[in-house]
Amino acid sequence: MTDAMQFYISTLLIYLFIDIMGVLGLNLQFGVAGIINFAYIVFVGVGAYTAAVVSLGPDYPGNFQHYMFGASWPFPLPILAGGVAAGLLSLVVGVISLRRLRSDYQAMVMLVLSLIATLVASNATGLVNGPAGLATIPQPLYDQLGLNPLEYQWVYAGWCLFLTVLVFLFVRAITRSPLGRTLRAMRDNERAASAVGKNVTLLRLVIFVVGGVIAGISGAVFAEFIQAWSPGSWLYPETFVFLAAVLVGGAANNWGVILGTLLVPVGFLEATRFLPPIFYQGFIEAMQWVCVGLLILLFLWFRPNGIFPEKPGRFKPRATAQSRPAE
Amino acid sequence: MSDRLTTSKVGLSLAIAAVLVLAACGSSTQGAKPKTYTGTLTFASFNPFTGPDASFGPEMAAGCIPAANTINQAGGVLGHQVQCIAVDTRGDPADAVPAAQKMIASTENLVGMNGPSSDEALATVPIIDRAHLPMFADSGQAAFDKSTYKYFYRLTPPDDAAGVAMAIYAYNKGYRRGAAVFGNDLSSQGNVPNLLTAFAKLGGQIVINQTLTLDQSSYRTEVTALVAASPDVIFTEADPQTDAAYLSQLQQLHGLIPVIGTQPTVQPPWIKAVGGAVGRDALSKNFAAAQPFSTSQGPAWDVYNKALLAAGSEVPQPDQWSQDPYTETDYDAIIIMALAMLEAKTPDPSFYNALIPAVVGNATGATEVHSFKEGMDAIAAGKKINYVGAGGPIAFDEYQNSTGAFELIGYSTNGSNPQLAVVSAEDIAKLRR
Repeated sequence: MTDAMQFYISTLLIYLFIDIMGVLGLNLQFGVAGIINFAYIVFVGVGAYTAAVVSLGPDYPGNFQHYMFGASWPFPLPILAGGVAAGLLSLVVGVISLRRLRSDYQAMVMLVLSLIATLVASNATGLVNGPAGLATIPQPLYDQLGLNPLEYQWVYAGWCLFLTVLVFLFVRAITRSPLGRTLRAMRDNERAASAVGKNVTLLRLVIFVVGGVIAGISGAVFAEFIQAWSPGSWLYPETFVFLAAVLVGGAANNWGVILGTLLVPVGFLEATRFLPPIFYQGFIEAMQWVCVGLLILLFLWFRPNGIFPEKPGRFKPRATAQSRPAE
Repeated sequence: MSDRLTTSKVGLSLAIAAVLVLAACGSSTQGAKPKTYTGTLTFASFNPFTGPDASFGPEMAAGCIPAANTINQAGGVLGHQVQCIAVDTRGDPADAVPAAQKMIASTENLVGMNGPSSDEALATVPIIDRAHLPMFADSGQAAFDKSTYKYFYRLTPPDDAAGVAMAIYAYNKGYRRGAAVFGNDLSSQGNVPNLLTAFAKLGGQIVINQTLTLDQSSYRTEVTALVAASPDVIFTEADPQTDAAYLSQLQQLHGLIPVIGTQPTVQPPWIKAVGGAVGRDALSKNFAAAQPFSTSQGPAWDVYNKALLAAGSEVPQPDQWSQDPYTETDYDAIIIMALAMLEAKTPDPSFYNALIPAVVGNATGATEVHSFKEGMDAIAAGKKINYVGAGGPIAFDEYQNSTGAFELIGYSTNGSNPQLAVVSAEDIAKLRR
């Protein structure tokens, strides 16, 4: 295999692992807890920007890019900072939007938030360098490892795989736990969950923040890989790509959404690069967004539970006093 | 049990060995002999063909296709025909990185490219450079003013130089109160910092600096603020719909103020949208635009323009690119790479890259050539060549940048762009940050 092909394949693997992390976070919010978060990509973006500014070093006069709070934190602090920043933003947004609004109004708030966030990042040029975004973000441990670029890329793919496995195990632990069952109960019948004493608002807030932290970490790892991040990378339609992956794979099924990620953001969007150009240059790329929308509609219409629907929970009945064997 | 353990140890060892072999493959070094090529050689136009800067791609492809046609008509490069392909970056680093990797990995006989643009250059130039692929970027990012990438070349000025040219022209015209009205996209904002500092250094005052959110239906609030600031000139770059809406509302509320734009405001979509909104007469009386200076005449331009107009269906409406400095330099880039291949006697980029500066170098005794055919004949005759392109003479500095003067052009109702002034590279250099 040529070096170029290895670079390409390892890039796709890195994108796949990072997207899986992101989609697992959204699945936790949307699939498991029923929170419609159309601003999910904003939290990815916040994680990416945070990791960038705490890696780039302090800004200085004459720099070709300008940003606030520049620092040179060592690995892995920028990634953790990305997660924390996204988590804090989730907390603020969650406190404002999840307490009093019903799910459809929450969705509208999230969509508006997504638009506002992009506009702020683009127009407040001193914040994170406006529309040009941030570049030359250092890759973690690149100098210390002393590897050539291809070797480093495979190591980075391994690092992303490791993080993805961690996120998967963490998300699976939540979905299998009593908390996961409570979240599903809340998703399926909010009033019933409230009636049995569950604090629905708190539960939503918790899972909204957890999903936000995962989004932030995925954004941080992504920005450190491509070494650049700009508003064009996190426009609001990107959330719908993640959402399509959840719906296609199967909401609330962690293995399903991994398949959805393989099929939609990586497979579907990448495979079309190999199609020969038709009509005019850019036609296929322009149609991708139409196709993502159609994919969501088709799945909602014909297979609303996705390729791998959520498995109904089977729980052993708790042993009662009568059935307990005599001691 | 022990058999099972042995089997898993063997499996583990094999896995580790496979990883090491893979790593070894990854560290393989470039061979000393040039690569052998069979079949058609490929040049890529690596630019946005979709997204907010979708106009960049067709502008670039319009330079590559006529260049490839003239090379093929002359018999090709070292017996190979050449072709152009378009690679869409979508104007976004996150999409451009896999696009670059895919292009490098799967494009047969890829020997050179035009691009990337400002939108994705910082993320993709390291990847392309690492792949030993010569690139002629149309990126205006100032970060490349002192580029150390071996395979990076730039024939067009950085974005921020346009801002200085606009400031100088405005000051020379007697304007002292400027309004900066730029879209919030990357390309537009690249002009702003140097415009502000240069106009202030000259003695002018920027009375209002507006960053427009693109493609809104109304800019009444922004226009009202602009009128209140009483500027005597507007500096602008935004997409056609945005400037059309903004300027037509200015016309309704106050009347037009002289406007100085940048190269994208000379593009046909911008002229059509803004001309339609404010009227062609108003456009011709109030507008000027700064763009990289190109003579758009002379023997090299004649060859370029003839090939462009003959491109037929490959380049829709080819005449719109006849005087476009970016298309001209994109054409020149392909010719330069092809001539360097002839000098190196191989299309292998690792070998011909080092000879790129030589084919445009004004060395003593070099024969001036204006087309691929002329260059091919001169090289065959054993002469040193100096290719003077459709965009004018080329001289790379130590950072492989070749940038020159700017010209200010106007609009006339018959669709032509009369030259209003030329701002020299020296004047621009004095005022750049």
